[in-house]
Amino acid sequence: MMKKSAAKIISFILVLITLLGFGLGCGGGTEDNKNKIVLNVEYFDGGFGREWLENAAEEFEALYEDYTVGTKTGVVIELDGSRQTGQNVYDAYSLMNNEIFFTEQVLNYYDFVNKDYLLDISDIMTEVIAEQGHSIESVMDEELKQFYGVEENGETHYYAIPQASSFCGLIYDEEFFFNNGLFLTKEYDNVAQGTVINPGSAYIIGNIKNKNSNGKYYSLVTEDGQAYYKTAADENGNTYYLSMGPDGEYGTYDDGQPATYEEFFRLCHYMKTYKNIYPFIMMGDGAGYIDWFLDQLFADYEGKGEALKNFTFEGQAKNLISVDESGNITKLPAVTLNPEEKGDNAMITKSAGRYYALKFYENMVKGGAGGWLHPDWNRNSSQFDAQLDFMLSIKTGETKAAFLIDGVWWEEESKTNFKNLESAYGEKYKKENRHFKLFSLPKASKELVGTERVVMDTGYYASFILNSIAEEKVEIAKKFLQYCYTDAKNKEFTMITGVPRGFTYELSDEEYASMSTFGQSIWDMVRSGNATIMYPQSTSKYYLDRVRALQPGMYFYTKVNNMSYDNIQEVIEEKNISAEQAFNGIYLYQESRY
Amino acid sequence: MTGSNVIIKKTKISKRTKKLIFCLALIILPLIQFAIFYIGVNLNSIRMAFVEFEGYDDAVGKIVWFENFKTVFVEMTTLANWPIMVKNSFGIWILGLVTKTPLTILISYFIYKNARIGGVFKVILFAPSIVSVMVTVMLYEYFIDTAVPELLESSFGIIMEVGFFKSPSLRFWTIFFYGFWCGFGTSLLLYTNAMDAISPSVVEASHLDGVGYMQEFWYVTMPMIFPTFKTLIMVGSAGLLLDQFYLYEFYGMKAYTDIQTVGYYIFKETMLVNATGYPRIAAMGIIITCVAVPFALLIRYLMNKVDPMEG
Repeated sequence: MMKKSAAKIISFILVLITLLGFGLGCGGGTEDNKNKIVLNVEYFDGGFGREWLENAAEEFEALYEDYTVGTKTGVVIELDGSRQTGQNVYDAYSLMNNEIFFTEQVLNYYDFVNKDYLLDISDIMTEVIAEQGHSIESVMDEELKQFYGVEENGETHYYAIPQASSFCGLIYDEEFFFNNGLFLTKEYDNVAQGTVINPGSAYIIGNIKNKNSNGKYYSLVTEDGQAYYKTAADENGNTYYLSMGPDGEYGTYDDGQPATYEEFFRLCHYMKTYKNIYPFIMMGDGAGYIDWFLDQLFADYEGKGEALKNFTFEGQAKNLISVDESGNITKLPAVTLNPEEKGDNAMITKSAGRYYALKFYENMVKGGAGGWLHPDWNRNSSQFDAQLDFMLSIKTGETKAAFLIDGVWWEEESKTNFKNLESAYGEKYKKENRHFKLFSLPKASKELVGTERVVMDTGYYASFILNSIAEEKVEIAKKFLQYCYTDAKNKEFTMITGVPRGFTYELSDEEYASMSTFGQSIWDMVRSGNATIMYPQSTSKYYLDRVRALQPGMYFYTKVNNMSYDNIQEVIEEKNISAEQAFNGIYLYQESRY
Repeated sequence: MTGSNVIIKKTKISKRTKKLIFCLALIILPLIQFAIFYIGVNLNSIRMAFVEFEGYDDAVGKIVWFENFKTVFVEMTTLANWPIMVKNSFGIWILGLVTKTPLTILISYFIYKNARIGGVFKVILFAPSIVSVMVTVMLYEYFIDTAVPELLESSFGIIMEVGFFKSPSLRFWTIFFYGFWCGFGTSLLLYTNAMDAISPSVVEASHLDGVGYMQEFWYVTMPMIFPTFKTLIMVGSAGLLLDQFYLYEFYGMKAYTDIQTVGYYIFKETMLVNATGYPRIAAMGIIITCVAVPFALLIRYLMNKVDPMEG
């Protein structure tokens, strides 16, 4: 009897808990929120963090506290971090609880549009925002406008807004480079490619530990009408003029950096052999960072015009080659591309840029006695581990890494690492006191020095409102989205994350100074005319039919000896397959997918 | 009754109808779900194997009959990944069969016989099944990749040059062990339940005949739980070509080629194509079903042969 009653009580409690769960799940927050309009916003919980969005939400709530719809007054913005990419949202559209999304890898924008999943936001794109005197559309990058503006019945409609320009690259610590004497001098510009760099040679700076009176390790000087970057004095009292870098000009942001692959790997050899510094560190091989990095080398080699043909499939692919086992290159005739159908489109995978990117990677992995990769890379390490190892390079006794291969979002992503290091080792490790910068990628050959620098935005970040949003929320949701893309918010986004957006806006000197040196280096690169951003997408039917198969993350998937590989690290590092074999295999792999 | 009074005639619902309504209410949702997510999805997959989509906005497609099968067949017979993937899929299943299955049955028996720490076993082995896979994957990854190398170094002076998940000789076994650890839960529960259902009088009778623990296990328990054992083996054999072996959780889209399974490959390929690529995957699915079904039937035949109750 007693047992029966106990069972009844337990069953009752369980039922109560279940119902309570339902109640909490469906109730919709606090009593206060029930009288307000709640906007459910989902953001990709990755490298951009949430600070920028929190700020925008807070300000917007205050701005619209008197906004009334029906019986509800005021707005509450609920932020929900997730790791759902554009593809995930698309696949699970009907299960989505959130209404507004800020996420990455929205490769499938046109799939969304085609299925009518997204709210038409053309009005907020074209409306002139009173505070700034222009619309979002008017300051949007032309290429992005072409892609996001969907032509329907002779009118342009927008369903999403591109969120940020993101790409991978080489990250270095400028202070570490000066302290350890790792920049090239002007003298190295005048010698033959491949000249060895020895300690004490005139081609490399000495260890510079003290700054000039301007608070920097270098000053911009003009001699004989030519601007140069001249270093502060090294330990022996010597000063140096820095080399011209890949842009082929003195007195610019990339001075002192190797201009070509050859020079770059000479520097790697120098730092590993004489300074015991491992050139590279990066995360394990799961996330495809290395593919995104190689995409940058590819795009930079090809130039924007040629690289874009991999997405537009218009005109002729001119940069095609074949390579034999010994690395002898034969130029192939140009191939006419077809933006509608398959045709010979797969031939574009034979573009020289892919080969040179693979060659660079092969050098990275196999070059140097004992390897050029930081020993910790061997682990199945996360990006956070790699970032931490890289940040610890200035600590005595730690294994040092010169370059971190990561995305422009890394600093924001590594916030916790910065805090932990600061609390463990002091102020020196504070984010504001570090001098991280984006390294300029070298050019494949001397002839290409000075050609345009291209970076490929492989993040596909975009924001949109789902069409399933309740009617009463439509207006305010649009207003919020618009608010997030005002000039002021675009600037704030850049200042917080260091990452630029695909809109025209300027930063004042104070705003620029408020960014980390890393953020400043990105801004310098993409906004000072030093680099062109390329958006790897187009509206050609051929591309839209195959967006997943044509994504840049798959550019180095290859088939060698009838074995297909999705992991270029496995190919080059483990299977010992040469760059030449891997390059020739790309076409074999992609032929059926293109 | 006159004037504005309305006569309400109560229709009496019979007890039988009430029961029927109750039963219908219980099964209608699962039935709809079954119709949409099993029958509908599978019919659509079969249809898809015979069509070709013109583009991303083409929802209907054009019938191409066996073209997709031809493409997949050529791929399966020429791509060197396939023999490796098939070997891995069958290998993992067989390994599980000879290691995990006997161990699960023994542990279940241990628990069934109210061994002193049987409950502890139950919790430890069942826990991974109720925790999210991503959580156990992260725990396992961290433990194996960080803690184990540290322990090896500090205790035995062994320095791991390459991590467990990367090492060509260890990565297969590292993942297999995870599957081993995490795969106990459901079958453990089914076996213990089947054992609990054995009539105590049968067990008592065997004890009166002087049967010991191991004899009881072999001559009483095993025959009585054989239907459960058979079912689990058959279900496993039918799904072995779809098992992705937790590779996506550990390696994302970049699992090493030597540890990939057929299930992982299909999953990965589906992620890498647009709607235009789905017909190829659908044809692949049908071909795999054509292999899996006879295999599952063969296993059923063999299991029936050894089933003590069938004899």
